[in-house]
Amino acid sequence: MMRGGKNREDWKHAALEVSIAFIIALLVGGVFVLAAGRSPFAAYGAILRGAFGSWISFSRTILAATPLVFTGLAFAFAMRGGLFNIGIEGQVLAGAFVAAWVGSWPVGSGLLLIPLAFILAAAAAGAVGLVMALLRVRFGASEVITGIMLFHILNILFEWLMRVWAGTPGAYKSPPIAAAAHLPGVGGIHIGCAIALAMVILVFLYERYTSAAFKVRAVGADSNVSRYQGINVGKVMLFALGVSGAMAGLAGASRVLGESFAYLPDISGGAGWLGIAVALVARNNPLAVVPVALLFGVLKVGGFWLEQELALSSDLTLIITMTLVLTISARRLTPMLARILKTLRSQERGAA
Amino acid sequence: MPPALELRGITKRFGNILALDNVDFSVPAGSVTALVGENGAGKTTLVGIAAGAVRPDSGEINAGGETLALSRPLDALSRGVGLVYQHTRLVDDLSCAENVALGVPPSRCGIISRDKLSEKVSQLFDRLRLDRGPDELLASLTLPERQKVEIARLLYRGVKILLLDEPTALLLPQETEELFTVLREEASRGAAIVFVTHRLEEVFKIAERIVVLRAGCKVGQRKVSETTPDEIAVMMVGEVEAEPRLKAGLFEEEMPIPLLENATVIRRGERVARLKDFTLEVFPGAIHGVAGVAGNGQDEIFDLLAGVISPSRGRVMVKPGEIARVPGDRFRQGGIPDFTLSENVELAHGDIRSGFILNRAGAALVAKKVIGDLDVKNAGPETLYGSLSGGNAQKFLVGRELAKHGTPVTCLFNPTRGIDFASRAYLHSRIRAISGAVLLISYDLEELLELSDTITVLYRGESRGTFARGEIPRQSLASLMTGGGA
Repeated sequence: MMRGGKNREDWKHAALEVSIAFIIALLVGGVFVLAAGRSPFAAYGAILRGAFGSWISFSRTILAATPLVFTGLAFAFAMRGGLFNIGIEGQVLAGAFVAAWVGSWPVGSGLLLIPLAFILAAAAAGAVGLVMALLRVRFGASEVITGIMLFHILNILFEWLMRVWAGTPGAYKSPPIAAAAHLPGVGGIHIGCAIALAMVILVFLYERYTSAAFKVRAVGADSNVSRYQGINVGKVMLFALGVSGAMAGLAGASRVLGESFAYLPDISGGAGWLGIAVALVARNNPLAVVPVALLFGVLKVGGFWLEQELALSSDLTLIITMTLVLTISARRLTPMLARILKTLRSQERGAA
Repeated sequence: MPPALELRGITKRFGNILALDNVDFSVPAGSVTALVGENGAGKTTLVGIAAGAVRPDSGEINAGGETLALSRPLDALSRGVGLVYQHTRLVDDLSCAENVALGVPPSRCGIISRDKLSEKVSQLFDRLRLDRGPDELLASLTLPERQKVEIARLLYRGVKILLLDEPTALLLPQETEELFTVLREEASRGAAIVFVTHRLEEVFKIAERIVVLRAGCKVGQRKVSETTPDEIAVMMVGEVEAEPRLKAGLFEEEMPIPLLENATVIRRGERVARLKDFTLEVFPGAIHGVAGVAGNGQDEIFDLLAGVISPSRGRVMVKPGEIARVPGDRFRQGGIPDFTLSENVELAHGDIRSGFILNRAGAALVAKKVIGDLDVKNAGPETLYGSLSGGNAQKFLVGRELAKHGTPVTCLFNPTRGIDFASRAYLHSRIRAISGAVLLISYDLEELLELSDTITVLYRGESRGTFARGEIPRQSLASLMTGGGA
């Protein structure tokens, strides 16, 4: 599957498929730009300038991509075990809220406070994942249903807690975290980004070498055979959803400690839902999550420039993102196109 | 008479494996043709191609004087070619009649005419000697009954050329006889019947012609009246190995290893126990057989030992890690088809995946050893398990368990079901050579009589007694298995 000499072949093939899907998405987006009476080239140029034009825009792109790396990893992690963790958005909120709370503790040293905030945020969000897994293992409740329901419950619960905590009924954010809890950074890019990359490497090594990853993969491939071969399927599901939730929680913590310095109800910015798309496009490969999250970040940040330069709606980037996801989801479409491309190329070679 | 079905020059590759090499195969109407060969010889592929379920790389198929489009099951059906699969493909939650009419109910303007359907299905069931009403739920039917529903389904669609893939693999001797009676009647009505099997004695009972495949090539065809089982056996495998010597009898001085103690299993939502107060013990160095008709508690015994279910009452005396197990369903319990052989070793060998780091190199070594040791054909550690033929998959599973360390008990559930007799004989010799205690659960009475030192007869979840080799005649065992007295 993911080893041996075929590895590189698979990589090349997957990269080709994603590239084709991306080109289709750009073409579809181009049609909309043309319909609005503008040049697609100008529009895509504006997006690129918006995302990379200056150091500030570049750092914004990186910051937009960071939570998507966490949530993309989180979704892919559970998906390897055949679990569709649709509760990521709720887990991001749990992580964010707990990080904001811990961040407000009067601990003078950031060296102590920041790791503590990350760890407790991950634990809280992991607990949300564990609840989903428990409901599935114990009562057979689909994690897709419980994930959505838990998100709605948590979303309102944290909003209420935030107001109680702030002490005013109309509060739109929690009291700010202590200065010691602010994430250090360089040029507007905080350390949360480095933590995200470290997680990518950790998950990559974990999937490649550990027994735990193998068991998750086995349960994802065939839970019945796994049960007959002595794997504790329930335990594996608890593990996969727990860790998945914990990683989603890091996204929330990184946002709060690095950017907003307080809990806000829309703190996630949809990172939970987009994480599903990231994992889908990255085919659950932890290394591929990075470029895909970056691409999504480019589209998100570049979209603002689109409005400024061309007075085009930034929703265009949403069209591109979703066309990309749709094209990738149509699992037989891109391999088909990749095959056609290959035959065309081999014919060319034959003619020459 | 011109052939009812004719395949010409059929070639089929799966990846690098040549499954069929330029095979010609024809079936005359009004007769039974047996298709025999070792596992991986290409029998299942050939009937799959005839039925339009598998697309050949090259070749031509003619049925009823017309050329069929390749790989179109509906096209094959409409020309009267139908396949009864080894594992029946019916819907449990529908009635018998609905299963028969699946996809093509008699209807007028979209309204299904149930009376007409019931009448037609009743007629078909009478003709097939199936004593069931059209409205009975399929879930309540036994395996041989399901097979007949499957045949009825094809006859309902006007099938004249009936292909059966290993129809007798899971049947008792008596059920096999009944099926043969029905098939002979259909042949005398003019149907062309193709019968895939491994059991040579059956071939000589039912078939008029025998076609032998070996390694994807047609070795030859014979009329039954003009050949002998020995000749066919040699055609199939080259030469037959001599039977290994039987293992010595029970060692009286050995201490028994208890497996189950008064175990009772009541499945969720059911009132009748699947297994009742069942006690089971095995002896080191001896093979203990469990005989019985399918569905009399064998699955529950295995599931208890595998730790997949726990008993409602009573106790399981061994931990799953202490017992090497070959489950009854190769592809849904034994291994993950999408995983490589090496990964399937990692799956089953607890010691390889017990550390923090997965012992991949160790697993690859074990896989290599198993492949060489049990002669798993066309395979390496990186081969996908799902690409193995049934017999090779079974060899791999048995070998994988034999390679386990520290398991004093080996439990095998139908270890040779549906595999060719050369592999079967080979696996039997390996089973005899196991030094620890062996529990052999099998639907195949011949296998049990051949291998077991002691046999427990299972009927409706209860033991009907335990017997030592030679203590009880075959007929009495068969009678106990079906609820009669000894």
